[in-house]
Amino acid sequence: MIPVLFVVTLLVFSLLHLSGDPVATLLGQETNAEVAQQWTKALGLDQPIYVQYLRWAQKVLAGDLGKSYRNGQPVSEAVRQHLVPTLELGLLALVLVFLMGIPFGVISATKPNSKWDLGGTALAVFGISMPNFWLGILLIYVFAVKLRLLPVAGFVDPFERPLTSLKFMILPAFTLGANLTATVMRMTRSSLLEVLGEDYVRTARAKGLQERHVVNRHALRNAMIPVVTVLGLQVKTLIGGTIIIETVFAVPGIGALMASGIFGRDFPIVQGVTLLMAIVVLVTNLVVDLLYAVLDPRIRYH
Amino acid sequence: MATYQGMEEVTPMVRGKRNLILIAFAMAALVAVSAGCGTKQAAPGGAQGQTGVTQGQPGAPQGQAAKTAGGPKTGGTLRFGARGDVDTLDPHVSTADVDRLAFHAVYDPLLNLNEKMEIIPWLASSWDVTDGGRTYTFHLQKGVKFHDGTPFNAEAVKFNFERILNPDTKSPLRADFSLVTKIEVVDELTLKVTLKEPFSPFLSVLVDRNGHMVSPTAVKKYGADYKRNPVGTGPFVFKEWVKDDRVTFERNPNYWQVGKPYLDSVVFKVVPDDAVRVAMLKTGEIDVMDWVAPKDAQGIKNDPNLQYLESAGLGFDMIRLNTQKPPFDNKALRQALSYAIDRDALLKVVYLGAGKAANGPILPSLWAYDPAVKGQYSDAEKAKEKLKEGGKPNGFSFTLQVRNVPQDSLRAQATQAQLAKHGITMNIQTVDANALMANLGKGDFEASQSYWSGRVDPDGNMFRHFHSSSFKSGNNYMGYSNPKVDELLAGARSETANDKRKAAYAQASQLIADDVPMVFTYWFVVTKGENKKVQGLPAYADNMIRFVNVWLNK
Repeated sequence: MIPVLFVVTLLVFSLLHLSGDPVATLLGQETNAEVAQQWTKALGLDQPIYVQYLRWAQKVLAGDLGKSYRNGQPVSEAVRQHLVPTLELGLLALVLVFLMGIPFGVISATKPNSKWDLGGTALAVFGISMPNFWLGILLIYVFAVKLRLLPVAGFVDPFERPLTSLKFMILPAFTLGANLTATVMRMTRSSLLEVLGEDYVRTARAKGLQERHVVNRHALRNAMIPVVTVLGLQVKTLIGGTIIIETVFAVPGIGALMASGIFGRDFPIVQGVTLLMAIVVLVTNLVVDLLYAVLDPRIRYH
Repeated sequence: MATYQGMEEVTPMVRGKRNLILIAFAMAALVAVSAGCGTKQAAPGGAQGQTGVTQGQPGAPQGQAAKTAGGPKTGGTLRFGARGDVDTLDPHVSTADVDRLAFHAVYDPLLNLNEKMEIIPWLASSWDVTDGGRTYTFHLQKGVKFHDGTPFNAEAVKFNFERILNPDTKSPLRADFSLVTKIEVVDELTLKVTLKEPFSPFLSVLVDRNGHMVSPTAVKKYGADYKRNPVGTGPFVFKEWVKDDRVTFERNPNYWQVGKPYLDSVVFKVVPDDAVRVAMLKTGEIDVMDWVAPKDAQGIKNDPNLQYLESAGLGFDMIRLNTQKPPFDNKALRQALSYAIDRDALLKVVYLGAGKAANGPILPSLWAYDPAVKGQYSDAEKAKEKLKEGGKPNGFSFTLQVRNVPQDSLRAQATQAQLAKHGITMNIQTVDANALMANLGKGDFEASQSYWSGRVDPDGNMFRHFHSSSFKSGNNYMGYSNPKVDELLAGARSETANDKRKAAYAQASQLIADDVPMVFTYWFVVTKGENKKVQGLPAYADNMIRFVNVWLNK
């Protein structure tokens, strides 16, 4: 895991430095050669790139992620502050994916070519093809502006006012999860259809078991394996999606932090968040691998 | 493929029917979605928004309560939808626009501006300019305290000015004070500032960042962390800053202007997306937004709960031309470009009629404006002439760098179409805002589409752009140098008589218009979208929100 993180951060570091000069960004139209020089030196940007990277890596290993170029806040503090909104958003999105993707997929698979199946498929196509910021704005327009059922955007602390917080999270979570829900729906459908054709399913039916029992106890578990794989691989899409969704819905999470960090050429912030995201992805993949053992008894780790 | 139950039922006819239904669904979705999303376009050249109704008086001196009969009501929270998060709350190191808005909540400037952009007393209740414009003596307001209890006095002002001048602060504002030689505390409420030579714009820089007074005690206490713990004398006290979410300020109960501020609190809500901001204004989740895009103006005007305010601004949209390299090292080609662009058409198409076509850097809203200056204008015949003169009778091609913002893209595309008619091929290169600035700094551009936010003093719109000394150290990215212009601009700085300054700027404007280091296309309007209950918040030409005057009519 460590070598992967090393490569990822090195890559991001290099790309960042190619993307632009933070000092020029910070000064904007108030440019002034003398001040620019001062700020460059103060931020350590006058050093050669490899020196800058090594310094950063050294500090990281000691637990110090550096300070934001824009407001001097320690990066670790910034990340900590922005964590809760993204966690709430991500969890709610995942819940929606499970609550909608799998049942719809099951219905589609058990009633293929029925109106349920066709309806579900059409929705899935819609969900996969829509760019998520666009879907977000559409949902805002319909549910918030026209119908006034939900707030447009923003964030409320779930520990202070949990129900209000959920209200604010519905549209963004739905938007974030739309793509993934559709994918899960399709995967569940095709995977389950395949499993339902297996011999042991035929046997179970022949034994006289109820269809519902056959599906839920026998077929579904095995059908879930490819679905779990896809989910695990797509978590990174969820993470990437938060950058756009949080910007659109004004949610102050890690994605928003990343977005404002990128536009502000705030290198420590971008590097810190990238490191965090890389760790999350790696851990998720590990969890998915372990889940296989739970779902499929044939797989055992030594 | 494994066989599965039900597969036998999918005959070709069923498959065809299924596909048909799928396509029907998709089309229905598309139709529903495009119908729902169309925004109303304002008719080109449509009605101008009305300028805001003035409520509330500019800085009432201490002891005079604000008029109440049928007037301002107290209470309530004003929620402002900001385009981005605040970068820093320390005015001496700040460069971002949103910061400047926040400063007017938590700080007071030494001098302020009224709706006509005239300088009015504020923390300095009066001042004398003596010795031919070299000495400024400020008489300060009595009985003012910082939010942490520190008294506001001449020592505090001296501390502030010296902090800006101190190289360790690394303040971008230092250049504005470069002529300051001496700062003396005459007595507790009197401060004398001496300049090396007369500098007429001096007072005008004190209405913004250079003049916002920070508490010396707080600076010493917080050190490098001061930028996240601002302490001023302003109408509102800093409460909290949740990054990328909101900044909250609460009413200062000990504010030196009795009876003010009217609001209980001010919240800066960070909403980066333009469409979402307008939506939040409509649903009442925010009360004010600035920078209303022309396409959203009509929707706000039509909404019975909202008001749209618009007034002439201080700044301008323009295209910077790099005079240091081809093709724009050729003056005739620059002039051809200026003649070829149809400013009135741009005004109609891009800005939907709001604003004015520009002819130079001095706008009608500035006191130095001289209507007799012809400046730049569109003329197809002259464009042809100049192309020939420049050795490119059949046109030429160049690349324009543009910010990746929808409004800017629209501008560029409209301009591109116009130039094509003259055989001038303009290639559009879209870059992000910071890359644009960086390329300007490096001189790595042929033409760059941009804007200047504008300053109250005409010097602010001229010297840093067109004086040769501003190349590499100011905003003269074009590498422009005209000795006569240099003389006029330097002279206008040290000249104290306004009529003489005006004449100098008029002459300089015409020379600059002829030399075309910049093609001026549009004079700004400042726009605000507000909830109907918001009062006392006109569209100030400098785009600021003077929170001290704002109240809510609930």
